[in-house]
Amino acid sequence: MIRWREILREAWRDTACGTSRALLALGLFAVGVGALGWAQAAGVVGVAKDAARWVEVGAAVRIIDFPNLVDGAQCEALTSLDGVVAAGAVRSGNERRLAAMPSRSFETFEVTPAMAEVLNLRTPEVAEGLGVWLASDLAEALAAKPGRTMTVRALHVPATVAGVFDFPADDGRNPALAYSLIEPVAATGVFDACWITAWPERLETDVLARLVANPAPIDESGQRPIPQVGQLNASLGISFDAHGRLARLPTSSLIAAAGLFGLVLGIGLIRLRRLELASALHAGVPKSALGIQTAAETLTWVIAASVLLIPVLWFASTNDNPDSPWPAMFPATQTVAIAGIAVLLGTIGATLATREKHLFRLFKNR
Amino acid sequence: MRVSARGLAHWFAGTGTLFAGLDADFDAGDLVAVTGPSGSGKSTLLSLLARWEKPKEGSVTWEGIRSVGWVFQNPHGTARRTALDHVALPLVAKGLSRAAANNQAESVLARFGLDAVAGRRFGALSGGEGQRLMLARAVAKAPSLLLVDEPTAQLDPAAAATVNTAIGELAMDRAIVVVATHDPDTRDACPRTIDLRVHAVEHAGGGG
Ligand SMILES: Nc1ncnc2c1ncn2[C@@H]1O[C@H](COP(=O)(O)OP(=O)(O)OP(=O)(O)O)[C@@H](O)[C@H]1O
Ligand SMILES: [Mg+2]
Repeated sequence: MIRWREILREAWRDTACGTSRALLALGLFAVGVGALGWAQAAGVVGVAKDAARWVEVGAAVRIIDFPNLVDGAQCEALTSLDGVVAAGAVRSGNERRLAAMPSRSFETFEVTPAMAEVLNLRTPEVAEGLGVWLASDLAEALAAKPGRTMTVRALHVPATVAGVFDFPADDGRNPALAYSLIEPVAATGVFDACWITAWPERLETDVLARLVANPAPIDESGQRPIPQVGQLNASLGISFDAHGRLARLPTSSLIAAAGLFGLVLGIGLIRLRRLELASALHAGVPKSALGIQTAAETLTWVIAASVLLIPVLWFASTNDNPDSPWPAMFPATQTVAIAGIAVLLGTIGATLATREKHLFRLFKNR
Repeated sequence: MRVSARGLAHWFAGTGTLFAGLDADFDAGDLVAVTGPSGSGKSTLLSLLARWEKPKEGSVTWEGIRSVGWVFQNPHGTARRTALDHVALPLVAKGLSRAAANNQAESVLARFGLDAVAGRRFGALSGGEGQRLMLARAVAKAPSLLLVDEPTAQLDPAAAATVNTAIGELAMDRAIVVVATHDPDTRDACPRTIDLRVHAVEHAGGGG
């Protein structure tokens, strides 16, 4: 009968003395499968980064533009919808001059308090009527800091800089708010537009968002205009389909490639040892014992390589990833696991396919 | 225990008839040399006796043959394992304890003059030592039929002599031993010779 312990001891000796080329195999596996696993993680992280960029540049902000017909309270109430992160109303106000820069007149926008969330206001002190909000670039130009007071002409009262928000005018967004004074006002009455941060994207958001507009009077062509839905920043496209993007990643192709790679590696390494294995068979080592031995040898370095790959793939899944690492880590580890199983199957298959006769052919054909 | 060849003839596509009308019987304890020039079909005859190839004409019959051992012109093994391992491992794999296998392997190695190199790696053995190790391993398996193909072809005369001595002693294992060779010393170590020139077909154009 086959002695398990002796066979496993043999496997270990082969590994230790280098007969099974464990180090070479470990290196090939780590590099080949590591690259495939890295590609898996990078694909998912790429989608997460694009999604974060989408939100950052304001592409997720939908704007219902319907001058004088947007109900401020209803607009703010949209936040109760799934997929609406924040919503606030905007209308244009009077032009103002600042004591600090009397030569230039500034457009003013009156906004409902919830616009603080839409604009991601820093240090929001949204007590109405008590101050103005400024885009950070403008605040810098005016040397204005949150909490400081500056005099707004025409109001003839000092106004506090109540908040600053990032609104880079050069990332493709509509820059109107970048050079304006934003004054929070009560969310009552009518506004010109409703800004909605819609994320993640839902088809019904745009439909429901139109309900914040009061019906328009019939125009000269006898039609009743309906509100249009636009984007704060349309430069990245009109829609971000995260599910579609994830579904279109080459996840299964990479897994198939890993399986193929593992199979070829497993078979190839045994083929390199074919003479030695055929010789052992010929000397009387049972094929089952040989199969267990080569499988154990393979398992040793496959496990070692996988353990080495875990921190590498963890790095790929966490580095520069604005989201949770798990959706990236999962296909990456799956790829390694499939490759490992394939190597094992290749090893066992190729060992069982080794025949004593190969020895004879090799010598006869030399 | 007997191997019988009757009316054996063989050729390949691209060769003429290598030999024809070959009759021979091999019994336990027989030590037979097969001689003939290169390309005359010595290796081919061995593979027919092993029944790894079917003869084009005639037949090979076995009686009581349980296993076949081969030794080729080059020793083949696992470079980093010791000579002792090469003989002991098949015994261990078959179920002997490691200690019993090592004991048995050591006595076989001693018989082939290899006791001093038992612990040496296969890759470090000389050609003659490697070839004697192959004989030792084959004998340890106790085959009924042992086929040896050009065991001294790659060796210098001194190493060849040690191998020829070992071959001469194979008869005592009571196996059937057939040795293909063009080394006259190997041939002389065997009590009986089959000369393929005798069985060659005159118009045959045996290649090299
Ligand atoms: N599988 C094969 N297919 C075609 N020709 C073959 C095959 N095997 C052997 N031959 C040819 O048959 C002839 C005899 O080959 P064989 O190996 O038996 O010769 P040999 O007497 O052992 O020669 P050597 O002394 O060189 O070992 C050679 O010409 C060889 O090329
Ligand atoms: Mg030959």
